[in-house]
Amino acid sequence: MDIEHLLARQFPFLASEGFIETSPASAQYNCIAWAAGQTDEWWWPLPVGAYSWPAGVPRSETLTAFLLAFQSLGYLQCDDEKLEPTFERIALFVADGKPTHAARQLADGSWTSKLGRWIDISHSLRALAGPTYGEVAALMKRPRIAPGAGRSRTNITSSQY
Amino acid sequence: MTFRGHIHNGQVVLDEPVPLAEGVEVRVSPLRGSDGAAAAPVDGLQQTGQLSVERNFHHLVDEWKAATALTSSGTELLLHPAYQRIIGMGKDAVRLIVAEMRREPDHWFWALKAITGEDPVAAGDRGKIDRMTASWLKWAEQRGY
Repeated sequence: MDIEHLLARQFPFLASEGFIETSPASAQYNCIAWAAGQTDEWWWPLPVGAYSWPAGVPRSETLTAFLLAFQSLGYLQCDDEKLEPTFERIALFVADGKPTHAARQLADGSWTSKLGRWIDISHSLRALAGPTYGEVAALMKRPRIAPGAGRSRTNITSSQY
Repeated sequence: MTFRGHIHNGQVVLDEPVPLAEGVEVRVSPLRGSDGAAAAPVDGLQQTGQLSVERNFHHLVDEWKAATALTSSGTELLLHPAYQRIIGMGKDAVRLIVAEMRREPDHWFWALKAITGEDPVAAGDRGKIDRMTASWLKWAEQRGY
């Protein structure tokens, strides 16, 4: 099966919504790390500790654990995916009750995703809904960080939103 | 399981009755040539077996990579049946995994750890695939793989 057929099967809306390939394939990082701004780590809360995961956040494959992971980076839950120039959003996908994917909103309103061990793409949020990643289950946002400022843990509280 | 027999009128006749069901596929390999000299069937068998192990390994690698290309889930990567079958190959798979890791770094750490019982990756490097790969390749080099 070629990659076009694979993508069409896994992401039924991708072809009609369109996407742009923005990086070569890499097994060095995954979508969770990419959403968190890392390209040299694979993030996953495997209990045995084989992969990176924010310190102090439970290593469990639950939406709650993923929300806490991004909360440790300064994100707080929000209700919509609208573009706000001063905020950066991430979307968490869930399938069959388990987190599967994270996407990060870009400054132009499109979203960027790392697809497993494959490529990075920019896309609409709807484009990745389907049997593989499920649906968006949560959106989070934090103040957009100026280029070069890094994406390290912040101590932003909900009152700042 | 090996049985001994002789060629009689062009057919293999086993020396003893064997508990094999009708239709079971078997492999026949001569122990001696027609001149009575010991042949090299054991090496041949080992070679054939090794080729079979390699073919099986690469088939499983292809299956695993194709099935998990789009997943970020470490659980799905490591618990995929093809990956687990590679672990199930045991020590035979270590040399092949190391060669595959040299060719194309990937998430082989868990398989190597499961098979060898060792783990050369520093705690602070977990999740950093390039550093984990480097640690395992150094481990492999030290052990002659």
